[in-house]
Amino acid sequence: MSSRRGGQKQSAKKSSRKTSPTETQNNNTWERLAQAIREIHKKNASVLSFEELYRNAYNMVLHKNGEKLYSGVKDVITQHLEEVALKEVAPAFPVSETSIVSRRAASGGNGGNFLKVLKRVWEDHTTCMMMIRDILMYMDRVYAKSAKVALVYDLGLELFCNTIVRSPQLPIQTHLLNVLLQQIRLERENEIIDRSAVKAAMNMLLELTDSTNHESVYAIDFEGKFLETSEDFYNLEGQNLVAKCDAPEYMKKVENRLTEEEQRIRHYLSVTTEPKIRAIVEKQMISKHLKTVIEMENSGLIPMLTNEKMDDLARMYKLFFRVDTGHEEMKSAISTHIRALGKIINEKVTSGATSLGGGEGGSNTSSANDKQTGTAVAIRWVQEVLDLKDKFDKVLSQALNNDKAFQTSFIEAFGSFINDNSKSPEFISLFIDENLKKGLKGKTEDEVDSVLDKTITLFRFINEKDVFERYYKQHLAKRLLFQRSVSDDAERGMIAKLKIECGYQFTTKLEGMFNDMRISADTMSDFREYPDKLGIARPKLDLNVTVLTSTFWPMNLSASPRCNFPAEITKACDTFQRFYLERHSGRRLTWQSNMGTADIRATFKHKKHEINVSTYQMVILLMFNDLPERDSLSYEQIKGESDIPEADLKRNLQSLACAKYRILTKEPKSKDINVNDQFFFNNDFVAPLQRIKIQTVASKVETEGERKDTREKVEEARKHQIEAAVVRIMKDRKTMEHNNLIAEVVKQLSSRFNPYPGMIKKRIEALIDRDYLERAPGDR
Amino acid sequence: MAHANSDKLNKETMNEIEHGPPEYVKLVSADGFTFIVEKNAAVISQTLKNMLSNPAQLIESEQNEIYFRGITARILEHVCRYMYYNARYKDASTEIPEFVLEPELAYEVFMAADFLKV
Repeated sequence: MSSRRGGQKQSAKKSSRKTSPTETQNNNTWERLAQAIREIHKKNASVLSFEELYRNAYNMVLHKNGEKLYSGVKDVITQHLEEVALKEVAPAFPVSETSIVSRRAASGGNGGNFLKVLKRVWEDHTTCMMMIRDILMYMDRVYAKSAKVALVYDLGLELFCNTIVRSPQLPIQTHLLNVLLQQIRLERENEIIDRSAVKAAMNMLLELTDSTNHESVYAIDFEGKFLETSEDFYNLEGQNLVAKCDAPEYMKKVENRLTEEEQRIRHYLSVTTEPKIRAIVEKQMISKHLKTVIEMENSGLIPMLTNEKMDDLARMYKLFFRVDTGHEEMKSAISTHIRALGKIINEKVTSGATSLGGGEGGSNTSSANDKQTGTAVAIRWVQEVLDLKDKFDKVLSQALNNDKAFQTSFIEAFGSFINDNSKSPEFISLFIDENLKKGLKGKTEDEVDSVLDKTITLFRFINEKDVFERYYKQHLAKRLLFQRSVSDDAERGMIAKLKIECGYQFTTKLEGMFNDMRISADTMSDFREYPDKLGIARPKLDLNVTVLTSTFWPMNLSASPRCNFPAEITKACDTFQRFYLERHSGRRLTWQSNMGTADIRATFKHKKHEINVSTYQMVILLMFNDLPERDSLSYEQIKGESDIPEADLKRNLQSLACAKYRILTKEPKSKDINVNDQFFFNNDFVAPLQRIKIQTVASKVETEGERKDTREKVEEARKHQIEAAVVRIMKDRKTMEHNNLIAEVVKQLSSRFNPYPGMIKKRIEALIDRDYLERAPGDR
Repeated sequence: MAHANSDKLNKETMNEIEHGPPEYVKLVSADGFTFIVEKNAAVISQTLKNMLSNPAQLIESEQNEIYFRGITARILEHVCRYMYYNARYKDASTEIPEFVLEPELAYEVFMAADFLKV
């Protein structure tokens, strides 16, 4: 511990002999240290003894000469750096700007050289500084802390920054920045640059901090300029590419640029720059050209959708996600497209329907053919809408990541065009009808399910669910009564689905219909034993009655069609009526002769046939029973005797005399039934099958008259529903403001239809008139 | 037992393979005594570590010898002892015995420790 002892001696000396020898000793120590630092700068360190230098520094600090040491070191380093700047960096300056532009490749190399020199200088400096730091560790530990000055290494960095990078004498900074920006520009133009040199320079800039605000020189000097030039570059690039490329190509290029910039960041820029440069590329390449790319002819968004370019769509989705309005634009563009496609589908229908309507309007004797196309139109419409839906579902799942926002806008678009078609509830119901009637034959249960599920998705779009309900009821009634329904399970499945969609209320009546069918079957088995019990003679025919609860079924009681049955049938009906009323007193039975069917056995010249006909047709045919052969009945005769409503009569005669199986012949021969026609029994009738079924025209697209009728019925039902809703709400709230009441009613009914405020207002007034409600006292 | 022994041996050899043979440094006191210390233990002194691993290869790191002109053998001995003491117990989970130091030497040892940054 000689040093300590020496120190003691010195301090003893200090007190007695003044300070001058200590000072000279200190000066000596410092001289040796300064010399050593110069040696280090000359890379001559191996002649130096660390211990000695360390001890010298230690002694200086210990003897309160830290400040002298510190400033001395600072001077020595500054001197060295100034020399380096002048002798090494300055000669490597790249050639002046103008020539750089003209000879890019050459100057690139030149710039690279400059960077290399800088890199070497920087590396030398840091190595030296590390050594100096080690030697002066004691100074760092003791002096720098207490004197609150930068550690010696940081001091070195600061000096490097101020004397070299931001040299006041030499334009090093300008050159450095220019070279760096130029290198990046070269790389953007697909030239290969020395990334490691650029990276070294970047690291240097990052490590150097500005002494005033402690941000890196990178952030202060470089980043801003970099972003500025990038902005210019991408502005130009975006304009060029948009003009040159089609949409998918453009998007690919943009994607490439984005990854390039990301890599650049990773390779030699600071991560802090990443969001900034990304924002620039996004703004210049995506935001600015959003509309242009979407609307590009032959390659924009719409052609992508049409050609199902999922990859491109997915790319667009991902790219546009980066900017604020990107997805908005995309969404609205797709929605508009969907609406346009929907409109086309709708227009096809209306054009089909008008040609149909013309035929109907003319003579009111629409041919079966026309009717058929009517249904076909409906089914085609539904099928096309379903296809469209499928397509966009696919787009959504494959390209759009099932984005909820997109989904909502798609649903809105679908909803709007589906509801634009006022016939859509009817069409959808018809579609279901068609599927449950025939379409499902030979399909597995799963297929049935998927068809029904799809239909339900369309059903969801409908605003006027009550209209749909009415049509569905009508179609279901016909299916049940004519036993057209293919599978009971499928029917029930459909109802279950509707129930899930719209709740219990919506399907009670439909379920009631099923119930009636079941109870009727039971009743009929009892009825068959009834004549035996009473000892009455069995009627000559089998009567099968389905008793329908009038509120569940869509038949109109008051307008129940008249029809004169032949005596035998009337007798059988009376028997049933007696039987039924015995069991349930107080009920009223009304015969719905338009809904029945009959199996009759007819003897022709060649063969006997069993014919399945409607009740009306049976009545007509039975008239011919009493007729001598070759005699005819006129239209008027038949009408007068049977009392069948005219429209039904014409339709039924048509199917008997003009359709596939001609049981009757008529004079004059034509496709349509006219008032002056004469009808004969066709004794020569031949058919390959024993049992034949006369198709009656049923459950087709409505005529205009029927449509009006349905509409009126729906309006009527709505009135009741609105009133019911108003009363329900008022019972709960007692007092309520008019507007709130209307809003509440709309809310409650929106699952079934969208009531107009005007309509609600009328209903409220009606309720006030009938004393259900009253105005609050003092109001108006 | 034999098995366990060979296992232990293996571990040691593995250690040697992994870290190379233990390096030693020579520490020479001001009064001429030489201490040979394992390098791993010595580098707990920041000063020694810098001396031995300085990038520019000063005399010390080339020769692996350090002359301490300010520290006598008596103190250096304690410093070396402390180095080994530290190397042994720095990761130990068992109870750490106290480092024994004669009070009359403590001041000088602490001075040396400050110098060496131990």
